[in-house]
Amino acid sequence: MTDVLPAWITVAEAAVKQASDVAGTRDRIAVLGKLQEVLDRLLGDLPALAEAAALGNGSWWIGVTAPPSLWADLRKLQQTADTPNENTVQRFERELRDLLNQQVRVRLLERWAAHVREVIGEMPEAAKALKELGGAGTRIGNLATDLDREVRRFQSVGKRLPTEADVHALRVATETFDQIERELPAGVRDFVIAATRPEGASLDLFDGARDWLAEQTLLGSVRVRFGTGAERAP
Amino acid sequence: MSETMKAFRCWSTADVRRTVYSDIGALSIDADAVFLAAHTPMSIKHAKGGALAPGLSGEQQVLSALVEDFGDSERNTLVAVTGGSGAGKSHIIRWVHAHLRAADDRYRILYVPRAIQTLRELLRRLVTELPGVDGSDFMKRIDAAVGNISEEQLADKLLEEMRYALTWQIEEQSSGSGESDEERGRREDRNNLLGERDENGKRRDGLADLLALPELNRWLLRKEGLLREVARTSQTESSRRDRQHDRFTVDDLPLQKAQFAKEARSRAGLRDIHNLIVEFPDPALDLLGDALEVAVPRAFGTRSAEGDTLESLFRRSREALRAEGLELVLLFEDLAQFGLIDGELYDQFVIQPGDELAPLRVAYAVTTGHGRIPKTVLGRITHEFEVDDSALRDRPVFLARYLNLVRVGRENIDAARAAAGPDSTDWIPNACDTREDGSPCRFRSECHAGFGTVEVGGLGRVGLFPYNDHALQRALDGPQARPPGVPVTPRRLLETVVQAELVRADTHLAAGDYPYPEIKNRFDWQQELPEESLIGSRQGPEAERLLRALVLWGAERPLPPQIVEAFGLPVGPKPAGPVVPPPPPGRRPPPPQVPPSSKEQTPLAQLAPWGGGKELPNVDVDRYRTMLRDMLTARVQLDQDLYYTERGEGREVLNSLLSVKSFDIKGGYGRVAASVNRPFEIEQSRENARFLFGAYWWYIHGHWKTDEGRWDWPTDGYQVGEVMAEVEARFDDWAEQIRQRFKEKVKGRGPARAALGVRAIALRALGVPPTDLDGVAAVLRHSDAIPEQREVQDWEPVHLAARAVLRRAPARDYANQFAAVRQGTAANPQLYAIAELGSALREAAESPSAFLRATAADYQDAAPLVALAAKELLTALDTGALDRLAAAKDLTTKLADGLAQSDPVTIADAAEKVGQRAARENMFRPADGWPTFRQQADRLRDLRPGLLADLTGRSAGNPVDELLELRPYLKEVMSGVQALRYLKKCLEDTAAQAVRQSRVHGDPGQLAQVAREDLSRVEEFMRILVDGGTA
Repeated sequence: MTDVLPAWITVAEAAVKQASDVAGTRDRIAVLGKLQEVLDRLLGDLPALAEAAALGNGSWWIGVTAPPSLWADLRKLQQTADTPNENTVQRFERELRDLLNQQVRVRLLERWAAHVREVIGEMPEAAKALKELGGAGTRIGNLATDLDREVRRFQSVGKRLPTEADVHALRVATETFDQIERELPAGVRDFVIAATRPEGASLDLFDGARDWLAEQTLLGSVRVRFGTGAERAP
Repeated sequence: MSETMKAFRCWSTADVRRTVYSDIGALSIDADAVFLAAHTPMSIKHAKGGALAPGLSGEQQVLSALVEDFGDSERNTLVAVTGGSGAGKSHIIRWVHAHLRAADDRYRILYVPRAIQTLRELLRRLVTELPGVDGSDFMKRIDAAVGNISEEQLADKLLEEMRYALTWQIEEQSSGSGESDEERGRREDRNNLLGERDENGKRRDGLADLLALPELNRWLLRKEGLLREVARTSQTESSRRDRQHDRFTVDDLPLQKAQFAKEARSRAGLRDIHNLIVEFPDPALDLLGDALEVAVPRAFGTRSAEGDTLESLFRRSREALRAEGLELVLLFEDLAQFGLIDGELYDQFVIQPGDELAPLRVAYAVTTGHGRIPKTVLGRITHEFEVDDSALRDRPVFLARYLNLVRVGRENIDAARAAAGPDSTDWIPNACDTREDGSPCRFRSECHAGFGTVEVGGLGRVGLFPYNDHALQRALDGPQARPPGVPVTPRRLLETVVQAELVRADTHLAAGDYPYPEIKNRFDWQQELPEESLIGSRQGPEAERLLRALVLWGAERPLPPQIVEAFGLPVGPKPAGPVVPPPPPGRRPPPPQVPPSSKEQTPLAQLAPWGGGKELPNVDVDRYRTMLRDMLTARVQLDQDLYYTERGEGREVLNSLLSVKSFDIKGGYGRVAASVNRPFEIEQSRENARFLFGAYWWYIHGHWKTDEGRWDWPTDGYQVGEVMAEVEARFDDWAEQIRQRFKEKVKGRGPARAALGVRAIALRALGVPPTDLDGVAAVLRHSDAIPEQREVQDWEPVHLAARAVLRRAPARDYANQFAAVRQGTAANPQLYAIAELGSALREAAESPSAFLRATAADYQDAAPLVALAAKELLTALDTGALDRLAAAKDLTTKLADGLAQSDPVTIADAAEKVGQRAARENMFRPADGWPTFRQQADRLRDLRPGLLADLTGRSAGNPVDELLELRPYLKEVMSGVQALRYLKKCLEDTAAQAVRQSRVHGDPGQLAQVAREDLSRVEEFMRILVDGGTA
C-alpha cells in the first residue's frame, strides 16, 4: 500500500482549489457588471435632461436640489470603483432615478413652458391680425405669416423637453416680431396690438393708423364695430 | 401436529376453473403451461405408415412422423390423428405444437387451435399466419360478405346461392363402369332432381324450383336449420366440434308439412320430385349438400373470380417458402372446424411440392368417422394414429397431474414455465413440495401418510387429497364418471372426478360437512357391513357423514387419523365402531366387550376358501392389506437406528417402501404397482389363511383371548400359541426386511450428509462467508433468510437454485430424521451424528462441484428432493460459470485499479475532503449528491483490509469451485467497486464544474476603469441638473 492517491482525486482537488480562488474575482466582476448596467441605464436618460437644462442654464433653468446622500453615494462609488458595494450601487440608482423623474424632468418642462409663454406674449394674436390686415403678398402680411408659423410650434409647449431647435424657433419668432414692429409706424403698431385684444382698439388709436392704412391701401381691410369695449373682438 | 388439517384445502374453486379444461378447445392458445402441466403421455396405435423410432410415447410418435420427412422437398407429409370424441386427439396436436420450435429455420408453422370457432376467425387465422403472403384483401372480401349482414340474411344468401348452383352449375352425373343397381338408382334420382334444362340452359322443375316454394324455403331458413347454423358459425362463436357432418338430414325437409305438399303439388312440374323426395329423401339431401358446398364459398366470398382465394394464397405462400428453402407445417387441432371450406384445404394436401411449392408437413386431428375427407386425401395419408383411452390406463396418474395442476394454480404454472424456458423438461412444480413459497406444504407428511400418494413421472409423489386410493377408485367407478352405456373418456373423468368433485370438496370441506350426502350418488357406493358395525349406535347427520367416509375412504375399515382430522369427523367418545386412533406399535387398543349374541361372522368364512384356492373378495383384500401395512409399520421401529419416521422425509421413504400395495395377496384383486419393489407375496394356502386370520385378530382385538373376540376363534387347527408365534415371526421377518431396505434406500446417513453438504454449498452460493459456516451446528442453524445480494449481478439463477435448496432440501429435517438421537417419537433430536455429518461438510467444502454432482447422482431414490436440488444448483452454477468467473475476476481487477495500490480508508478520506470543499463552494456535482457521496465513502472505508490480497491467487482448478471460493467476497468487492465508481464519477463531475467556475469573463480592473469614467459623466450631468451644479 502506498499513500499515492489516484489521479481522479488529485485532479479534482486542484480544480476545486483553483475554482475557489477565482470565486472572489467572479463576485467582484459580477458587482462591477451590475454597476455598469446601472450606469448604462442612467447615461441613457441623463443627456437629454442635461441638454434641456443647458439650454436654459442661466436664464429659465436654475437646477433642483439633490439630497446629500446622493452625492455621498456618488463619491463612494467613485472611490471604490474597483470593489463597488452592490447595495450602494442599487441605492444610488434608486435615488438618482427618483430625483430625475420626480423633480428634474417635471421642473424642466414647467420652467421651459413658462419661459416660452413669457417670450411669445401676444405674438400669436398680433400675427393673426397682421396676416388679415396686411393680406397676402404685402411685406407686413409676409412677416405676419412667418411669425404665425414660428409661434405655432409652441402650442404644445410643456409636454416634451426643449431642444436646440425649439430655442432657435423662439429666437426667430422674437426677431420676426421685432422686425414687424420696426416696419410699422408707432401709431399703427399700437392700434394693431390693441385691436387684437378682446376689448379692441379705440377710435383714438385708429386715427393714428388711418393715414398709414390709406397709404398702404389697407383701409378696406378694417371694419368698425360698435361695442361696449368689454366684448371680444370678432 | 401444531396446525390442523381440518378444513384445509390446497386448491380453490377458482383454481379449478382456471386450470382444468376438459375440453381443450376452451383452453386459450397461450396457455401452453397449463396444457403441458396436465398432459399425460399417451400410448396410441400406429394404424398406418412406416416404422418409427422405438420407445417413443404416443405424442412423440406423432411428432416424429411429422418431422421425419423434413428436407425431402419432393412430397408432403400427412399425419392423421383419429379417435372418438374426447379421446385426446387435440391434446396430441397441441403437444406437437408445443414441442415444435417456432424459431426453427427449416420451416414455418401455421397452427389452428380448436379454440377458434368461427369460420371468419378461422379464415383470418389462416390468411394472416400463412407465411409470405398478404391476405388483407381476401379478408376484406370475407368481412364484406359476412360481416355486416344478419344471420338470417346470410342464410338466405346461402340458399339463393344453392338455388343458383342447382340451376346453372351442378352437372348431371353420368354412369360409371361397374355401377351397381343401387348406385345407378341413386344417380338417376339425383339427375331427375336437378330438373330439365330449357332452351337457355336453365334448369326448370327441379330442386332449385322446389327450394323457391315458400314452405320449404321458410323451413330451410328456420333458426335451428343447417343453413342458419352455417351462417352462425361464420359470424359468432358456436361450438361445432362434435358435429361430424355439415350435411342436411331428413329433418331439414318439411316432409310432414301439409303446406309443403300442397305447394309442391300445385305445380305440375314439381309434383314428381316431391313424390320422389317423400319416398327417398337421401338423394335430395345429398344434392342439397353438394349445392351447399358450391354455395358456401360464393356466399362467404372465399372464392371469387377476382382477387385472392384460399387456394391462391396457399400457393403463393408455398412458392415463397420454397424460394427460401423452407417447409410449411400445418397443425389442425380439429379438422371438422373447417367444415364447408375444407375443400380448399384438402386441395392443398394433395398438391405435391414439385419444383415450385414448399412441401407441407400436416398433422391434424379428426374424429373417427368424419365422412368428409375425400378419398384423394385419405390415400395420401403418410401416418395415421388412433387414440383410444390410453390416457386412462393409469387413471390415478392421469388424475394426479390435474390434482397437482389445480394446487399449483394458473399464475404459478405460467410463471414456472416462463422461468424454465421452452427447452426445459422438468419445470412443472410439485405443489406438495413447493406450494408454500417454494417450501413443501406444511401438511405434506401427514397428508401423504393419511391420504396416500401417486408417483407421477417427472413430478414425484403427488398427494391424492381429498381422495385416497379407495375413494379415488370409488369415484372413478361411480355413476357420474362411468354412466351406464357411455364410453369413459378422459374428458368425462376430468369433468366428474376433478372439476366437479374438487369444487364440491372445496365448498364442503370449508363447511365441515365433507363427505356430503350426495356423494353416495356420485361415487360407487357399496356397503357390505351393517351400519352398526361401522358407526355403532351413532345417529344423525354427523354419523351419516362418518359412515360415508368409512365406506368411501376407509373401505369399511378404521380411517387413518389424518383423514379423520382433515374431514373433521366425529371421533370423540364413541359408542362403538371402527373409527379408532392408530394402534401403538404392533398393538391395537382393546375393543369394547361384545356380548356373544352379537358376534360377527368370522373372517375365516372368506379366508378359508381363499386358502383353498378361491378368490378373496375385494373388500377383504383391501382390509387385509391395510391391516398388514399398519401392523408392519408399527413393527419396523427405525428409531432405534436413529431414523425418524413419524413424519417428514423419513416417513415418506418408509411409505415408499411400505404401503398397502406392498402386499401381494394372491387370488385377490389389485395388482401390485410396478413401482413397488419386492412385494411381500402371500400365496393362497391354508397356512397363510391362518396367518391372516391371526394377524387380523390381533389387529382388531389387541389380545389373544379367544373368548373375547368379535367373532369366534376357530377350533380346528388354530392353536393360539402357534398362530401367535407365526404372526410374530412373520412380522419380525418382514420388519427386518423393511429396515434393511430403508437403510439401503437412504444409504445410511446419506440423506442427512447430502442435505447438509448441499445446504452449506447453497449458503456459500448466497454469499455467506466460510467463517459463518464452521461446523455442523453453524450450517444447520444459519438463517435461511439471507438478503438478496443484488449488487452481485448475473447470479440470479444460482441464487434461485440455492434458495430452492434451502427450501426443498431442509438439511435440519434430514439431520433430524436420518442422523439424530431422540427420545421416543419426539421430533426434536437430542444429539446429531456429528462425525458423519462433519465429514460431509469437509467434502462439500473441498470440492463443492464434486459433492453436488455425487449427490445428484446417488440420492435420486433415497433423497430425491435433495438430489434434485443439488442437480439444479450444480446446473445453475455450471451454466455460464466461465463468464461469471471472468466477471468476478474483472470485478477484482476493477477494485484493484480503482484503489491504485492505496488502501480504501485513505482513498475515502481524501475523496471526502475534496468533496467537502467543493460542496462548501457550491461546486459539488451532482448538486444533490453530497449525502450519497459520503455514504459511498463510508462503504469504501468498510472494506476489509487485506481483501484484495485474499482474492488474488485463488484458483481451485474448477470454475464452479473457484467461483464458490470467490463468491463470499463478491458482494464486498462489488460494493467497493460501486463505491469507487460513484466517488470517482462525482469528483470528475465536480472537477469539470470547478474548471467551468474557474473561467472568468472580463478584466475587473478594466471594468472598474470604465465604471469610473461613467461615474464621472454621471456627475457632470448631475452638476448641470442640480442647484448650482455642486454637491
